[in-house]
Amino acid sequence: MSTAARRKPLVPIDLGSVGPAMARLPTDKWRAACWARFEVRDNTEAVRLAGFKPSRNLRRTAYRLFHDERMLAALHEVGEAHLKAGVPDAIGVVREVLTSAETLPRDKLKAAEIFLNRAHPIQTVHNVNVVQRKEVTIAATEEVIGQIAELARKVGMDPAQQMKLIEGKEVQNDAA
Amino acid sequence: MTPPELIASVSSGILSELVCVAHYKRALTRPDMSVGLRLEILEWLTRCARDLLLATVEAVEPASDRLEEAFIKARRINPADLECFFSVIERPDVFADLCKLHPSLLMALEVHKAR
Repeated sequence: MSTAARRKPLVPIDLGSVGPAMARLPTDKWRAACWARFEVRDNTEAVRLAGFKPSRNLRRTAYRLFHDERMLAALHEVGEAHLKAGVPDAIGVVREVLTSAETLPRDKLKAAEIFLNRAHPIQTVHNVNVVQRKEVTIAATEEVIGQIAELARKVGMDPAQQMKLIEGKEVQNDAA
Repeated sequence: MTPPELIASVSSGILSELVCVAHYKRALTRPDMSVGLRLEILEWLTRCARDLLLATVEAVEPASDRLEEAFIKARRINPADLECFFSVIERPDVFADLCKLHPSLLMALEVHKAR
């Protein structure tokens, strides 16, 4: 087999089996580089694995490929697929932690929390009612003051202190 | 039960309620407040005492200067969105920090848990 033949992917990639971003890549070698990028640690190694001609310019080629908008979109697409594919394994690990007799209680608790948070996430609902109303001035009548004292007592606050503050306000108002 | 475990063990709504109790208790110590507003806040605190527990509400001290400062900062993050304020103060790590600024919040939580 010639060198040129070896550099081409052995089997043509079926464009029907790839996502839209991968399909938009210009050649199969680009697609191969995209997949290879998830198997190796750097861009140059990925383009080499994809069959690009090894040369001094390989790093430059790698830079060009992996900074191309189309390649970035394809990497995003394949990356998402990898993440989804990893979900069953991840669930398996959590389940193993949850059921293993050797797991520490705190780790079991954490694993249980992972399931619970996804199956029954805690929700807080705040009901905020906005009511537009006319400004009503409440006079400090004996009845109102008595009500304030009673409520302050009910919530464990010092009624005498509340009385003092109201009286102080009345004095201030009178002075004004 | 450690403080983080305690905080994690209650619903987040209780956390924000306790912070608001401290804030309004502080407000009630101000002399420059109308009688109507004072009455309204006391009525709200009474409802809290009924929903949570009187002992829980009693255990919360009026907000310290530092808690009040944190409260105001959280409220200013997005003044138009009250939900934003609640979602910040209900975060366990944020509430744990608020407890450091104002230890009676944690004490109230302990009282609430022990009921």
